[in-house]
Amino acid sequence: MINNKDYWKDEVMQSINGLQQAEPNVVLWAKLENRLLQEPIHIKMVSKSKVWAVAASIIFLLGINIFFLVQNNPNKPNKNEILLHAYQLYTNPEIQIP
Amino acid sequence: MSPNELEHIYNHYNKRVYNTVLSYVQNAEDAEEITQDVFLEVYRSSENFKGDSSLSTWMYRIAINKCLDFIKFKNRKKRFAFISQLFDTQSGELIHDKADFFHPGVKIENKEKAAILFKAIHNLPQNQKNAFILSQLEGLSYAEISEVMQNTIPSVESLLFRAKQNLRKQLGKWYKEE
Repeated sequence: MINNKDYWKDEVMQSINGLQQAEPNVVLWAKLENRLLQEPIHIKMVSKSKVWAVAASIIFLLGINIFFLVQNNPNKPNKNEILLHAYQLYTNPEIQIP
Repeated sequence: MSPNELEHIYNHYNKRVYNTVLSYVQNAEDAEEITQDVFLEVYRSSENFKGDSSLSTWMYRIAINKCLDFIKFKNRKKRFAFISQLFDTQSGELIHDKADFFHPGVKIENKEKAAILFKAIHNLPQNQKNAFILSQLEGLSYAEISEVMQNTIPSVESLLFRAKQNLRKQLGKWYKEE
């Protein structure tokens, strides 16, 4: 059998049954917005090491591109052509070697 | 996150956050102040939200942490007030004694009893208080509470059981006084 004390405890424990949500103040968002305006604007600073890493990558890529451009230049005579030309200089009878 | 996005989140979650905070701090003005702090924190640290948990879980965590910080700060102030009062010969009473809290969402016929219950909730150990508020006042499922508290479901059940036992124990003491 439940005594008075336990009955009272049960009642207190059940007093929050069917609790409705409390409404926040209607001007709460306006207050919050006001605080938002006072927030400092965060500018993300890029670290120096990152800047150097990007610069080095660009220079490296440019270097590779220039190297291959020079290597595959169609106007540049290849080694065989140079040798052949030199050989012709010696074998051409019209050219007198002193 | 832009202010517009924050407004959208605010419109969706403000009641939930406010009510959770209100259950902890048991004062409407403080609850409004902390609710603002919660949304500002969401705005500031939105980049840190990785989506490992749901947005509501993340917001509950922020709200609870803000409340605990506030309660700690208030308790420190109370202790200081109590010590300074020891030197005050004029008053014999505790100035900062906790006032009864009447939750605006409680049925009128239950107001007095609910105020007693809120007083008891205030005295619960931290984890038990978290489990009780999230379950009984916020209506979260055990799975949701375990996610917010980063605990297992059985431990949430155990915390809730102990919270109810503790509350009844406290109520037993107050019944004698009536």
